Amino acid sequence: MRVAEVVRAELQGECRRVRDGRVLAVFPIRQDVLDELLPLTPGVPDGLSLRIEADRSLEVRYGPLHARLRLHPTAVLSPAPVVSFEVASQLVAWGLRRVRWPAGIRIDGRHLHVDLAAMPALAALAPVWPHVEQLAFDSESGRLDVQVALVIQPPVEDA
Amino acid sequence: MTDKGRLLAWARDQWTRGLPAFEGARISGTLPLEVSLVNELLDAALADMAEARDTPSPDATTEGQAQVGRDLPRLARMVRRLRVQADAGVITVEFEVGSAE
Repeated sequence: MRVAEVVRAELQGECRRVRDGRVLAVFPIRQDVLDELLPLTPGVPDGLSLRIEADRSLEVRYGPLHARLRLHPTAVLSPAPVVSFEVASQLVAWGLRRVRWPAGIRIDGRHLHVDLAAMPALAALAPVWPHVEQLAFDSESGRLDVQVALVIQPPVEDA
Repeated sequence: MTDKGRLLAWARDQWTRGLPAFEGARISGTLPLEVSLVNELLDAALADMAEARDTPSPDATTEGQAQVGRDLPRLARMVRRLRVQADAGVITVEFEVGSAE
């Protein structure tokens, strides 16, 4: 896989041979694709389901439990890429604060924060995170749009 | 099969079926690349395609160089716009790729 190896080596070498590159990607995630992917994703508990609703709302079901979360419109990117959700119910948030979460997930008040760089399923994206300028979300019923803007510049000492 | 293995198998199946799960996805951008990097990429693409041409059975290999060589024409079908501009030592590539909608 020689082309992929060249790309990977350049990313891992801080893109020293790319001068002010800009990339915009939009990925629509449909409900049926999410349903197919969740059981295959490392670390996701069996039986967990997510339903995509309008205005970045997600309904989470796990056994008898269900909760409604609202995805923040953009991710925080520094010092680490973190996607945050607001938990609709105070009671659910209180319960979630008592759960022992894996590394990279934390609860702060009614907000659930997920550090993407700490997620095993996204480990292959590690060289990309430093170049992400914006990570934004929008949704309609049954479809979540993920927009990623990348800015690729040589390290400051090379610029 | 491990979770990771199942995820990779899903991704491979998607790729062979033309990425139906990514219908509507779009990637566009401008990449000013130093000539040395462009030449490395071209060498790598040619080597991958040669490997694909010289490997007799397309079904025998699902990973590795030969598969990538066969994947390049598939990837090319997703390109919607491609322009290049050459300046001293730098080739700027403007592109847009997307799966069918």
